[in-house]
Amino acid sequence: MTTSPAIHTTGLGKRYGSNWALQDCSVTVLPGHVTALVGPNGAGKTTLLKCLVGLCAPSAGTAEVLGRVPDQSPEFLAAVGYLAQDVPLYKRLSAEAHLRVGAHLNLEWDADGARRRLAALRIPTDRPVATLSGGQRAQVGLSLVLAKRPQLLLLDEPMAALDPLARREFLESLTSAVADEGLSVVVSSHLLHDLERVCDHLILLSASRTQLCGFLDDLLAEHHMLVGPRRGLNELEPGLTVIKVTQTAKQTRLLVQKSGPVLDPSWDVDEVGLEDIVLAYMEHGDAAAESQLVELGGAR
Amino acid sequence: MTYLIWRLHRGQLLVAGAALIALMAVLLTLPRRDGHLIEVIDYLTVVVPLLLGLFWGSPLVAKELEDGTNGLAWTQCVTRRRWLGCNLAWTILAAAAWGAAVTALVTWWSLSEVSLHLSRLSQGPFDIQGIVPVAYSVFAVVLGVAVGAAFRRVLPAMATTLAGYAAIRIVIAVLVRPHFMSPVSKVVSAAQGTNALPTGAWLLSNPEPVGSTRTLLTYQPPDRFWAFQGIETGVFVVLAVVLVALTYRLVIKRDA
Repeated sequence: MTTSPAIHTTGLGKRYGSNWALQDCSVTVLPGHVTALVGPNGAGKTTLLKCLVGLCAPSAGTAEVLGRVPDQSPEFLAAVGYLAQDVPLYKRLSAEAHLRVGAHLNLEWDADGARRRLAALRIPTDRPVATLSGGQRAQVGLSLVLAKRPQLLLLDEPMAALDPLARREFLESLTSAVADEGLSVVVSSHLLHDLERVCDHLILLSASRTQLCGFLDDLLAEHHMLVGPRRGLNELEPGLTVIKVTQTAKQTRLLVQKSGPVLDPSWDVDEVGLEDIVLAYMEHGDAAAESQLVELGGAR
Repeated sequence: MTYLIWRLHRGQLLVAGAALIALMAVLLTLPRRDGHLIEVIDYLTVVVPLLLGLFWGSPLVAKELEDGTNGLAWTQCVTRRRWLGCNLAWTILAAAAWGAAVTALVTWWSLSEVSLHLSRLSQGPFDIQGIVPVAYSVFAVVLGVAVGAAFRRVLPAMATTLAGYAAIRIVIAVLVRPHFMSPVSKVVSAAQGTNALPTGAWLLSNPEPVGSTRTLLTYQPPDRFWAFQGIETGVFVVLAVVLVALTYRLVIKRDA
């Protein structure tokens, strides 16, 4: 079965003044998957999500979301649920008022579903949302985007301000919604740890660029930790990409990417955890950015 | 959209309504022939459009951008164009209605009083009666909205609205309005002086002596009141239209 991707970007870039907030971002997200969008602060996660929902016009490249270029048309906006960073809500309005407003502003609106969800979480819907806790506000925000019955959900650091318990509750809500509705989700966070349990797909942005985009299982299968006696890096077998090198007096440890098995028997091959991979790529991204700077400096 | 605007701004409408009723109550109880009171009420009426610009106009878009709620509003199934259109339409309508109501009240209150009526073309009285206060109100809120959309912060937007509104009003009233139509010059005997002016005329410059017994008066005759009201209204409506176009650019073309 071939399915058209929920999100497909090619060389997407966004420049503010002379700064590139996002550069050369090419990612594909298949429908029905939950994608973790991770990266350090300032990596371009928010910019990417804004470009995907049409709040930002890209400066370079193209984005296609649900088969069309993101724009401000009602048809496009109906299909995409977007929860902005810090869950902005109208502070003085109650959750119930938000639900009523939403009914006026949307083509499709499942207010009853949202009320059931909030009632199950015992979140008061008659008080101004400013009086709710951060966790409750995040749940109200999630209920509002789900009430649109979107095909694609874009959540920008929805859990950044939540305590661990509220995080878990939020993720549980998200997971059950995804299971019920079969929608595609992209959740951004600077902590992969939050998302590891609910996501099966990963996009890693670092230094404004895409470092990784793939299924978690594939990423785990094709990354290896090689441990062996200390040696230079010029005698590696073909097909290996070195992500991270740790040299001690006697030992060389390499985090490498290779789609097949590692053939060189002089290495001990260990599996690596997702967190190690992500951290290695973040360092890799920074190092790449730094070496670029050095190159620029040298050229001058 | 209308429902959202109503939910967000009904508090402001209530405050404005209460203020209008309070003003009405005050005017009903005040004696009508007190020169000082007329001055106070005049000043109050002059600042009404400015208050509308500051408290209705400036926060309209700026507050959403400051709180990030534009990320919520602009991702419902409503185009940004419609969002802005509805917001602007209701704000302009409310400002025009409120400006008109205050003007009608003050005009009614002061018409029996000679002072307003007699010098209605001159600065001050001209600015608080007829149709210009409605144009000022519309201009002030639209200025507030445009500046708010540009600055994306409420307080700087309010400060700029204050300064901008005052500057533009003064420049037009002092430098432009006297030339809306070419003034009338008349040479009268020095003994008569300004007494020779028709009642309600707007004297533009100090009487200039011509020879030793006569004097030159330059003025706008009083029957030009409505022509001047029309021209001044037109000027501010044109300015408002320009600002609306600018606001559309700022909200629709720029990134959120």
